Amino acid sequence: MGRIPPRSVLAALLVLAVAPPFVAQASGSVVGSFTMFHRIVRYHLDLSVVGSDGEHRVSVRSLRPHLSPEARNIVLPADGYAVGADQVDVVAAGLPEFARLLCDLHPGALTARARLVQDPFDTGATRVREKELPCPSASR
Amino acid sequence: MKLTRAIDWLFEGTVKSWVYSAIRIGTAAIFLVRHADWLRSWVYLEHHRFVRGLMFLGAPPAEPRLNSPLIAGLSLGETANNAFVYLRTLLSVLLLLGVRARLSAGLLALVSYTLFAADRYRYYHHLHLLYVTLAWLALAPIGSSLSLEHAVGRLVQRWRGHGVAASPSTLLADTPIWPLQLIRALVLSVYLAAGVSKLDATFLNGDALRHLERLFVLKGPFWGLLRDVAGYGVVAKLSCLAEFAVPLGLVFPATRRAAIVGGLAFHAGISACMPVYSFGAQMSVLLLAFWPTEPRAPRH
Repeated sequence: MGRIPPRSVLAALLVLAVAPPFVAQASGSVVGSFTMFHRIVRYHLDLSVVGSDGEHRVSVRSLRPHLSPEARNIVLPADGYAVGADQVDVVAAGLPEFARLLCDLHPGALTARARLVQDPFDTGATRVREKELPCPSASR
Repeated sequence: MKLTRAIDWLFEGTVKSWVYSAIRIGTAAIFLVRHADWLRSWVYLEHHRFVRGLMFLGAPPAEPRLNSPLIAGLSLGETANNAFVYLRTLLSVLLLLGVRARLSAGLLALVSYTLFAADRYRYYHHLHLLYVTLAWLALAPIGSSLSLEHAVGRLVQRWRGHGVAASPSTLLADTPIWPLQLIRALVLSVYLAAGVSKLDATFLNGDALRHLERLFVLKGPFWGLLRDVAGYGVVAKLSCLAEFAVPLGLVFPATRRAAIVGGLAFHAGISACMPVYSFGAQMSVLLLAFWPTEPRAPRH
């Protein structure tokens, strides 16, 4: 039978076993929070690029070939109004990456914008999160 | 001094080896089922909707692709991704059989988290729970019974003419309890975190359940019965209450087994009403950690 670790190690391991979900919740992170079905929201993803001839909307569906199968499950429904609990925060955290992808897909674009609109079913409080990135072509 | 005594009280002692083996086998079996569609011909499971073959295996999306890792900078090419998927499958089989069980559990957690972190859209709470369980199992003597490696060792001993221990089974061998206490702590924290997140007026008045029903997430005859008998608000409050009552019952030896039965019923009820993938099965396996009630000796 193996030796029992020192008390300090055991205490640290105990904190490591218990604390992460509460730390995640306190920091507003979905990852590791175990917040399951405690709320339900609608979310909509708006993508656009600004070129020299003005702003153009980009359909989320047009990104399909460039998304992983897992991303497709969560992102594609957001072309209209998708419904979810924790997924919306995953999409929100990935907004800069959508803007970057738009720049890559539209070489002439000056800026790319990814905008996530979410509203809970129960109130009218709408939350908008947006990420706008200057595209590399803008600096050429 | 009080803290020292509390740590000793919590972590000193032994427990029969069967509990570790049972959790290992249950977790590995769930892992194998959840990460592939092996059972599609026999039973349709929720994840079969989007898992074909081995989960996360396949050709990458077209370039330029959305690169969205959970850990900044982490990017797996097609070869590395697929190699990790095959390694994951091999390790989960080794874990199930109990071959180098602790090492298999640790490596499986590492490989699984790497695949997980390479794409933020792979994140699900139940998968995170599965992987974190594996990490804790890597600290426990999970291969000391019901393992192929152990069985082969005993056969070799017998073949060489060495007497095999006369004990009826290694399942009843004493093993240290401290890893089990950490697994128990993990289980308690999952229940409490889920309960705390539901302490919200909009959940407790039943709105979230109403919307989940409207979206066909909550469905089935059992849900219909619950809703008609108790109403949205009461079901919401009861589900939140259960997430506090089950861990509270698990803490005390006198109520532990009743809490296990209550927890199993709770998870069966949730699984009958909504898609939670393998979460109910995983928690049911983890509840086994509370079944032993062996007294623990104080440290001298």
